[in-house]
Amino acid sequence: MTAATDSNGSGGGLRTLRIGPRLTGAQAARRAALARKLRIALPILAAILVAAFLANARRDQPDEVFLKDFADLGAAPDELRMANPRFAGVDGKGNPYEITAETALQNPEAQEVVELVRPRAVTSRPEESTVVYAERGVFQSKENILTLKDGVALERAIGGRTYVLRASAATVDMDGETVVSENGVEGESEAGLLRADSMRAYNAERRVVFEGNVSMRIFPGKTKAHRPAENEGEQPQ
Amino acid sequence: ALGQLVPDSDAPIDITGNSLEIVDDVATWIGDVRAVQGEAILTADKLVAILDDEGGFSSIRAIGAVRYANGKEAITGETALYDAEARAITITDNVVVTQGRTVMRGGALVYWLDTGRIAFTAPDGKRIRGIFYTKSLDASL
Repeated sequence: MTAATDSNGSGGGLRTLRIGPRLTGAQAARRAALARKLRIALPILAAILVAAFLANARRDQPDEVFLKDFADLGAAPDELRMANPRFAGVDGKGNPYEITAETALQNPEAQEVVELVRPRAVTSRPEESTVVYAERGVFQSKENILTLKDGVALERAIGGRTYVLRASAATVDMDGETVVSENGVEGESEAGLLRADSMRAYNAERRVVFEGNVSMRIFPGKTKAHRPAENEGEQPQ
Repeated sequence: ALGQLVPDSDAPIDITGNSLEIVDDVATWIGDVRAVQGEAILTADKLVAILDDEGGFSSIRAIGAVRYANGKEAITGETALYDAEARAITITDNVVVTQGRTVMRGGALVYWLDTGRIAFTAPDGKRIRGIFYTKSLDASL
């Protein structure tokens, strides 16, 4: 329906109606048939939609995507086991740390205590990062303390060399930024060996203290300065 | 250059003590400190070594009851500084050098590792004193 307007642009009342040609008999018949079809099809469509909704609502298999998110979660009757857990946080000075492990076991009665298999803690500071890992560990998330057992190893730069310091047990205090081992520590690097009864690493002060029967062996032949120049070909004994 | 106790030796340097503190590149041994390389032994109450970035020492300072011996001579004093660049040990305060039966006392001493040369300086207001033994006459007649 289009509006015809007079010269001064105002269309008023009947004058706006356009008289179209009358429907022919065939056109009217087609229109009536369409109406009859719609009268049947629309209710059927509505019924299908309602049925689909009801079917979906009462379906008892949980949603696959939902299931996949929690596939790693195996809830034994009294503990929660998680695979590849990752704890991230900041220590007392705002430096980031991250603890990862192969598996974590959380005891429901003491949720802040998590047992870890093959934990690995990395504490990062602007100038260096300290890496410590072990076979087993327990993380107390309230105190931010990680107790490590069996095959503990701490990687630390000493005199331009990265020493791997090994111990049977150690305690990592994330907030205090210390790593303490009281059960004997043995260290090794390309340029030397190191041994002591106990070790305390104070990451914030870039300081490490070894106590009790401390012995350090430096291999002059292994330090860069002493390595013979290629053309000399002299091999250290 | 690398801090060593004997010239041009690849023998490992073993340092032992009651405790060791490392802060950045400064390593401090305290308590019955003993550094051994080959025949050379340096003992002291305290030893402070500056670690170079290749894992060795650029200087070693020994403090308190210092004794350096290398099988030929023994030098004692209160403090000693080993400078890897100069390859020399400077020992000060109540220095006594013993070579066999020869004994010399002075204020400060510089000992060059490579040549074995010793430079003695007298303490303020005192003189250098030494006891030298010549071969006894009767043994040679």
